[in-house]
Amino acid sequence: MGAPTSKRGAEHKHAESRGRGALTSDTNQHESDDSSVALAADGLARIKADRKSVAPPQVLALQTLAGNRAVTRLTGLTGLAIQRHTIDGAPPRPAEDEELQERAVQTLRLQPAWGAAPTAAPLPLQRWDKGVVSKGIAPGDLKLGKARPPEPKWEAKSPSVKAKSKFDLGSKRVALGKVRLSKKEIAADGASTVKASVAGPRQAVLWSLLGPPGMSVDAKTGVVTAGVDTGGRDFVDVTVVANDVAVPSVSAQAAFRLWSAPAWQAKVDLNVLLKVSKLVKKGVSTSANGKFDATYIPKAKKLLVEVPVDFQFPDNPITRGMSKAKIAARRKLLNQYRKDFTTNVQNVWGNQYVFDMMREPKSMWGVLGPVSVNVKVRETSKAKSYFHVIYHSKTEGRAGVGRPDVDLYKGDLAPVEAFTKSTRKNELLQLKNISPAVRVEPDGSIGRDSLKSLEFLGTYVKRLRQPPVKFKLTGKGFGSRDSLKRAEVVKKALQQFGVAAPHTLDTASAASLLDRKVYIEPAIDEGFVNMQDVSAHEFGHMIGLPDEYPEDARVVGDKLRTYDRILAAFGQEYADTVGKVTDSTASIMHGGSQVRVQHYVHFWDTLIMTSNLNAKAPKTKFGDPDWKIRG
Amino acid sequence: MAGGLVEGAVPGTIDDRVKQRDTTPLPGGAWLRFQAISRAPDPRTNHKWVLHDDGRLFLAWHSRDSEGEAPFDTDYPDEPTTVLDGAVVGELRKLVEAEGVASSAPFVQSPDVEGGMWRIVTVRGDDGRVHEVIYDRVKNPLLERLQQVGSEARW
Repeated sequence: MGAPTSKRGAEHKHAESRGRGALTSDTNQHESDDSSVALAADGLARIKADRKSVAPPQVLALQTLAGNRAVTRLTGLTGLAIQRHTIDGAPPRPAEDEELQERAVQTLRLQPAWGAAPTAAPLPLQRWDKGVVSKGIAPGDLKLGKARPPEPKWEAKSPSVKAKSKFDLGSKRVALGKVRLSKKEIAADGASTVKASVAGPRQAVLWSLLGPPGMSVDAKTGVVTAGVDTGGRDFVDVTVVANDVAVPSVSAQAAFRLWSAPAWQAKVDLNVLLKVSKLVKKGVSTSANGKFDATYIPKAKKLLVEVPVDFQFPDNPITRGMSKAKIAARRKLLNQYRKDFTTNVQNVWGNQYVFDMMREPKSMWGVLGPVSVNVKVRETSKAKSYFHVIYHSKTEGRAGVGRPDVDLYKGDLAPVEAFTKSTRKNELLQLKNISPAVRVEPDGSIGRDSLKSLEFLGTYVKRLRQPPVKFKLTGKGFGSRDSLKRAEVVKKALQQFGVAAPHTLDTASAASLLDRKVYIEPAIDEGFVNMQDVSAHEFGHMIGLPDEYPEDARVVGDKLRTYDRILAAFGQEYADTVGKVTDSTASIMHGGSQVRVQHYVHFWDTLIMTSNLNAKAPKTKFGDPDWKIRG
Repeated sequence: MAGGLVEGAVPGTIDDRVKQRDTTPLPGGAWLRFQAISRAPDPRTNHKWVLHDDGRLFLAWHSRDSEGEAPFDTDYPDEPTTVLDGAVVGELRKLVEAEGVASSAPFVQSPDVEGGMWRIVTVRGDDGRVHEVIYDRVKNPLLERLQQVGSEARW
């Protein structure tokens, strides 16, 4: 069957104005063509014999092929009554047809193709051109109550037209080639297009699609234009259906992926980012002393922090005249120093926390995380190093960092026990300051403010890691049962906030109605021993972190220079608790050995910076909210 | 070393631990006193010593047992901790002179250094005058050597 030529009657113009002109473009050509009538009669007879496959497109196609009036004349022959109504001057329909058509205009409760909940409102089927099936075919068989080729709903699991790739039409065998698409995926940007075509000999087909609202397809040309809606999903698969004009039950289809605009941008950006082997920034300067090289490897989810150093050993020089044996022994000793410093620092600072990618859509961007941090002390020449690690092996003193010099003294290469007493005391004080007296309502509920305080306590304790903390929860109520019940509520809440520490419960009588609270008394494990790690502490300065202890005019409560970044990363309450000068704690930047989550703020900054180094992606640069320190 | 040196009068906001340094008059026959106070809270490396003209050195090292604000918790011993060789004493005199301690501002600071110590040097000049300089995080050959002397005397 050749492609229909394009002659358009008045009714077609009207139809065109509704965007469907292509569907009736050849009606006039075939209205007086007897051979076409015969062909239509044959087609209708076949359709009748195969009712399940009868669909409005078939009727339409027959109209297209043989002319609407010719098809109408065939009613008695085939048992099908297909009445052509033009929009202008359409004759009144028989009442029975009207009723039947209304029945045909059924509603379908459609299911999303990708498993989401069904749409709340049933979608009314639309009529087109008032084509009516009056006899022979039950309305239910028509699926869609319109005489145009069906517009399968995008939510439907499968096209309502049963796909047949072949159909015998008399002596002619109708077959459709494979549907080809110019693109396999596009963005839901309201403008992108996909051109569909049928492989093989040129055939007249009518295009329709199963896609989200707002999409459109040119039924004649097969050009699909994206809408802007993907139903809240990152992507949907859109099916483009080609129906043969002569035998609409013969169809072929292909699908392409329609991405939401943010997901599409993420896809484009990720494609660029993940192809980059590494993003390098040399000489990241975080403070007067902090300096390192950073390499972000997106695919490996790694941030490599390298600090080039050279080692100097003024107390153990290798001088002229020394015996070979002595030189060998000294070299061995010095190599051990190097190894001890390097190993300790790398172990203490590396892989403590990870960074998660929070940018939406997280289903896309999330692949970038979690990013772990590898810390490497790289020995190089004195000229190329950022720091001279000077180990005074025979002198005792307090280490310090004034770039490029890092002065370490005897005993600084391994953690030693120190400040246990004052650390326990001050860590405890800190915990007491944030342990709320929790009011538990008679129904067992906890007020919003108390709940927030408990959550913060839980977060703080989780991040603390060391020293080990336990709580005594004293419920105060009227009677021990009431008091215990209140304490149990708080214990459960603490556990929900991640504090699985062993809690002991106690009860006491409330002095008044207002005193019906649960009092939280933290305690530090008696076995806690604070270990001071000087070399790792100094390394903290080498990456830009400040001391956290009071000195000179800087007193407890003063903000650290990292306060603002801690605030940006963890919020006000946490910054106010850990972003200030404190008395002894087990923090590595105080007098202990604990690398705490706030100590990763410079790595966090570095990750944000390095992940933006590629000029091509991401289109919208990463900022604080995009990368989150997990902990 | 990051940044330069800042010199001047001893600031009023100087740390309380420095305010608790040994400011007693140098004993008769003593010409040099060295005090080292950690800026970090850990006082275990804090120490002070007095060196007499004849090489006798009296060392007072922190006991390591206390955790508090006092920079020193032990007194000088009655007997000298060690007696330095005359050559070492001579070396120290040369270093003191080279550093210009006697004519230095009373407070010298390297403000960008993090951690480190206050090292306080008190000398009696040839004219008999006693002069004290507080070196805050400063690093120079004199201070390194004086600190080394204390460590060597300790053991």
